Amino acid sequence: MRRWFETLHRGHALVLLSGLLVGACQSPTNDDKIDALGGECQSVAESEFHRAGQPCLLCHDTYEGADPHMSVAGTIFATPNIPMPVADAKVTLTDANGTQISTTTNCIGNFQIETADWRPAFPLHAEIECPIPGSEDRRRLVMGTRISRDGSCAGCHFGPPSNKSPGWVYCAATMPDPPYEVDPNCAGICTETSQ
Amino acid sequence: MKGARRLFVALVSIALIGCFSEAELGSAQALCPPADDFRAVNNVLERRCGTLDCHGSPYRPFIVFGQTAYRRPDLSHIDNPNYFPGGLEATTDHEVRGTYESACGLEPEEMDAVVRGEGKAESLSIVRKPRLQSKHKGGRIWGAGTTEGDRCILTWLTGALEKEACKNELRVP
Ligand code: HEC
Ligand code: HEC
Repeated sequence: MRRWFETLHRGHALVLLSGLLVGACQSPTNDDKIDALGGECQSVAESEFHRAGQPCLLCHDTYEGADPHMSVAGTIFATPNIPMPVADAKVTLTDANGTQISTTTNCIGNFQIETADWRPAFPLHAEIECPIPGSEDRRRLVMGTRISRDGSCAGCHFGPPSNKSPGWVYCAATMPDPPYEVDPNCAGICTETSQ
Repeated sequence: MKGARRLFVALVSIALIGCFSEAELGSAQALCPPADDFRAVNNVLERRCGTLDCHGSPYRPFIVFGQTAYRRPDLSHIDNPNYFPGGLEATTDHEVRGTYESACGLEPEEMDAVVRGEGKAESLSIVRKPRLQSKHKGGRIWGAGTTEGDRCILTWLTGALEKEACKNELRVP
């Protein structure tokens, strides 16, 4: 459990660093942003399990063109300070025309909605329903403001809360008891030690 | 010898420019509509323009600050655990001032002309863009003269802010 925690943490350091790098130059381009995210973790395939916590649409959009093209995608974590992924969280989005779509997160907390399935009219309304460990109940968290155009949750939700970000999307203010756990066989766990 | 003297003068000038205080540079300020009650306008800009993927971003020329937008970096809030977009700390005066300065600094000459009654408010980007009368990545936010939000901005620019219009705009989610 410790291992992935550290690696994910490093992943976030990268995202944060990319924010700093992008911030350093006044005309950020998508290329800079993508380069700043760093390379793939060698132990995780380029799949729905990769790059947890990163802004998926930077690459999975018409610009970079990585297949599949996505309209909305992101990652759900446990608490504002513990970037442990939460599986089986339900994400529901409603677009400007009132069309709704729901999906659930995989074992590394990632979810994605492909443009082939949904091309929403912005702005979007977002809410999540998190599983509660050891309980049948779910916890509903509703985003009050709208998403105007960025389909990546991580476009706004990155790192711990700061003046630029509400922090990553999380399920609980503090780790519940019993705690969230990650499936040790999850294909998204990065076991790479040097990078 | 003459060359060396010129170089000396040039260097001293550069050093002096480096020493001008903000106040001295600020003395050439362009006019801007009244700052009083700008909070009412800020509330509208925050809701309609200030999401973090739009103008709630330090990378936009026009930046909107506030409780749900970009939080203005501010030393007095550095240890405040609720100073983040969506945090419990309400939009501060410092943030309202930040949006005001950003709006005024966007097209200073044109804004100055509008305040002096020599230019038309309708020609400013802050009016044209949300109406989609100019190219706008965020699309059409409201129509010309048809919504309270448009009215809120326009009346602020013409110096007779209708706070009621700003308030009414916020009734629509
Ligand atoms: C830095 C760029 C980049 C980012 C960021 C990124 N991906 Fe990918 N992703 C790729 C590339 C490249 C591939 C390989 C497919 C290709 O070459 O077109 C891929 C493949 C995939 C696939 C397809 C697997 C298949 O077999 O069809 C899925 C699903 C996927 N990524 C999900 C995500 C999710 C979810 C996120 C965000 C949490 C994300 N990706 C973030 C670049 C990226
Ligand atoms: C445009 C920036 C932006 C994007 C993109 C974005 N969010 Fe948010 N989100 C915010 C802000 C700002 C807040 C805090 C204020 C609020 O509730 O609106 C927030 C709050 C939330 C909350 C409520 C947290 C709580 O404590 O109640 C949830 C849940 C959430 N977002 C989920 C998502 C999901 C899921 C996505 C991706 C589909 C997403 N957000 C994309 C800006 C964004």
